[in-house]
Amino acid sequence: MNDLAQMTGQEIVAAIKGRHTTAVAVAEAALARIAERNGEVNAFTSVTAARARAEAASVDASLARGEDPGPLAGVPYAVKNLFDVEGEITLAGSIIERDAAPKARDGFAVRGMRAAGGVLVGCLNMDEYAYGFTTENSHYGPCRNPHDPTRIAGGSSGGSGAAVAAGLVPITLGTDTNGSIRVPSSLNGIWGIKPTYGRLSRAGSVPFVFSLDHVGPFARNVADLACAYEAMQGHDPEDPAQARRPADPVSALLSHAFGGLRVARLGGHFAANGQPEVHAAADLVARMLGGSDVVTLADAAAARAAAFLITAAEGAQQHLPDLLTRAADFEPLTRDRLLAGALVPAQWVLKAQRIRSHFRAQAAAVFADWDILVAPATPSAATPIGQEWLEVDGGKIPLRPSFGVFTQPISFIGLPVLAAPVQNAAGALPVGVQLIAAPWAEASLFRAAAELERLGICAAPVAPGFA
Amino acid sequence: MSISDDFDPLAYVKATAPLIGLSLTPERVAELAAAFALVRRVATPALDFELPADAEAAPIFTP
Repeated sequence: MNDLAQMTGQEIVAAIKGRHTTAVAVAEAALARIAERNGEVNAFTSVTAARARAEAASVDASLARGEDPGPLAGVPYAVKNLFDVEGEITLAGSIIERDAAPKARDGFAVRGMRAAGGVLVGCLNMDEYAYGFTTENSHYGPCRNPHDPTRIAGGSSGGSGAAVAAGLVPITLGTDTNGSIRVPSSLNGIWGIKPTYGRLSRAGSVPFVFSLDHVGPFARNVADLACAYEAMQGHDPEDPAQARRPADPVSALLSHAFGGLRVARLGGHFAANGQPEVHAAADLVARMLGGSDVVTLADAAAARAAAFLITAAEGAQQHLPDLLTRAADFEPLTRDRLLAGALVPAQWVLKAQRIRSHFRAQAAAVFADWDILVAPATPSAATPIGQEWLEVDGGKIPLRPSFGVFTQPISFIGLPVLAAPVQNAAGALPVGVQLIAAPWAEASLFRAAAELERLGICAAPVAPGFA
Repeated sequence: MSISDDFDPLAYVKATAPLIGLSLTPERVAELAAAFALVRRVATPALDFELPADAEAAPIFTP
């Protein structure tokens, strides 16, 4: 049964459509595996067993009628617990939201996964209100890294990363405001994509910072990642920040020969601020994609700081009523981050918005000459739960806000990024590498990711202790 | 926009908290001052950044 539970999404679809198994059997295997192993990583905060069985039965019935249940037919998946799920309370990692009513319908991304044949098996642990990079959630317990359960799984989509790396499900959904898809991808050694800002609808997910929020999938191979990315697309008038773009099919590109794309390693800010192994991984990936040049985004440090300011102020505004009336119900780490953000002077935020515009133009100039930029995703591999400081460049920096040092400048200007996993990069631990493209050029990222997978440079097997 | 070296986060938090309707015990003022000092520390590269005069803010409002 464990083999069935640990298959990739594409293997599951092939087995179900080939009538070698059924969607119900796959769902039962996934539920059994979650029951057996989730306690070691604390990835799930709820399991939607009844829904999973019903959706799986629907897939099997559809096949029996001779219909095509979709490209994710019978594939179990789970979602960060800030996505609305019909009949479930959307927790967003908080206890405050426990008082809310169960949702009447799924969020847009979940509806897309269901339409593609996916089978939802549960909701996943996260930093409270998505404000963090470590998923050390005191309400629901810390999420643990499948490669070493004494270490963090990253955040804020920590459960989404750990569930995939532990082989509990092949695909999960998460969100990324400053790095919350790319950081867990890196620390858990799996694939993840944060698409261009405005590509995918966020409607039906709890917002953190409206002007910076993205949604996206995680997976253990590029084909699954592509399939989930496609399933999450579609125009949604309920997200005012969504851009009117044509569909962006990428699965068919994965088998194409890689070539014609100009690849460079990002230097400057992205060649410092991290431990040697993360830079070695980025150097390796750039080299294997033919990227021997180094380019810089000169004002990346200011951009990262500006993203931090906008996040603090806008995130605080989102939660100010609860902060004033029931502060004690917030996660202590989150509460003081938000309250400090509520006191940020307007002049700081306005300057940050001007830096955003300036940095966007700076990056656009670089993309006139390059198609893919390569940078580390995190300043280190997964650190022990509870650690507060990180040693970098001969000094100590506060760990929790610093895990976004490489991701924040990029999401700040909405660029699409695919996180590619390099296994055993830091001893037995993996790290991720950011593949960054110009706005709307996700297809180039998927082509590069498929090449790295073909070359064996990047891969995301189930973590050894869970295989 | 650099902050002067004698910036006192404790005094700042104590003075501005009432502006947003936040009442704090002395102990909480100290905790929040530490959190604000961290915000200031991480934000420093933005606060010190010299912007071109013609750099417009990023948000786009579409009526």
